[in-house]
Amino acid sequence: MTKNEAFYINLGSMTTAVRAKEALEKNGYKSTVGKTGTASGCSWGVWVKEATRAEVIDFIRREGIHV
Amino acid sequence: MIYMDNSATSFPKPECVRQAVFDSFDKYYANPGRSSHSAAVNTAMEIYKSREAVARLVNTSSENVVFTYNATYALNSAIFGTVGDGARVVTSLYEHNSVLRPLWRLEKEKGVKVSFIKPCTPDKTVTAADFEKIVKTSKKPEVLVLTHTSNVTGYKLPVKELGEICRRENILFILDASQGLGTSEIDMEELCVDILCSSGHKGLYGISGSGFMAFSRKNTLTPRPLVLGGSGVLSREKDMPEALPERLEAGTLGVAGVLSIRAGIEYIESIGLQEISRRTRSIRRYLLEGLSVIPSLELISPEINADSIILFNSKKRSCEETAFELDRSGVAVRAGLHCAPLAHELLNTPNGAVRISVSHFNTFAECDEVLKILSHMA
Repeated sequence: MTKNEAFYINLGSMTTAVRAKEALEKNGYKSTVGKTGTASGCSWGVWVKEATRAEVIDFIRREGIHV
Repeated sequence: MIYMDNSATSFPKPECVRQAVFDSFDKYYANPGRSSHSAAVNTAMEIYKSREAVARLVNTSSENVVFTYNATYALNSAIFGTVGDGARVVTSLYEHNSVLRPLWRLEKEKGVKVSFIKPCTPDKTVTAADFEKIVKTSKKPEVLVLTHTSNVTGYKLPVKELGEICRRENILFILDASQGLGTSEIDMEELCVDILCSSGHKGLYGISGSGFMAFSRKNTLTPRPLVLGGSGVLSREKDMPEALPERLEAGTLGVAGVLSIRAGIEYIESIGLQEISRRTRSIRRYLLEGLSVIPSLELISPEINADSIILFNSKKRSCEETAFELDRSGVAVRAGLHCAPLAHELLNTPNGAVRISVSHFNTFAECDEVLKILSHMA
């Protein structure tokens, strides 16, 4: 995946997704909150672009958010 | 109207609170946590900032802030959600019915044993020693539910001392902070509080229909939800999600109320909690000194180190008559039992009393006017 492709990270609740988006934005990442269908109904996460999935997941974990 | 009923709900509200409510019509109108379009996410972001504001105020993390519709809803959620069948619960005689009635219901239906910390001092204050006596019995309590500040007299209970006992003895500590927040520093970590419940429309200047519960940073509780319904997540599951705050926020949030709480907290932060407290206390002290020289009035617990409340009775009229006469003269106060019947029993005011509750918006000129009216009423 290149840095120009947007990717989605599933985080569970809307509150967690919003928390992650806020932390990402404060640190210069471009993100938006999104929702996806799951086996248990639906789940919230963040769409991120201009970054790599690995670095974003690492960042989110360092913020104390479970991914 | 001279408004001195701020313990019921505060008035006036700061301009930023009014603006926050209008913003819920104009900018943050979409349902947070349901749809994922931009308007819904924008509202969700504002709700999250409100969680952050509450978390900052009481020292917890933002995900542990659950918005409710008032303090009663928050206290019911905390009590019914955590107190197990047959549990032993301790509380005080200063509690509001939003604590007493849920506990009495549990006592009646679930075999919960409720005991009260009995003040042994002449000034009817609660001491850590009184609580220790209960803790040291063979049947150690599992839960303490306590008010931070009496809504009847303004008396501040020894929350830190009792909280430390709870922490030491592994007793769940639920604090009703409805009357203290906004004038007192309330740090959940420092006070060893597990769940804090509060209204948003009193000392925090939010609108009526707003409140919240806050769980401590180290929370491991998954309370049984009082209300079940849509959560915007895990919709095929038959129960509410495990994670806070969604677990306890079934249904659409009251966005206007939530935003108003944040605006109120930011207003407090802009002035400074200590300055608000100092100003409120000086207004109260001025009024108290004036009331103390009116011979027809009896001040109740005037020695209490309160921020905003004065309780009194007329020697010639019932409390309701006094409040009625004050209202006719343009002064709003509250008479009666203030939904805290046991506190009035303790204070030996079985027929109630008149409560004046000021805010930092009140002026010394308003105090002079109230004192003049009460002097003439005598």
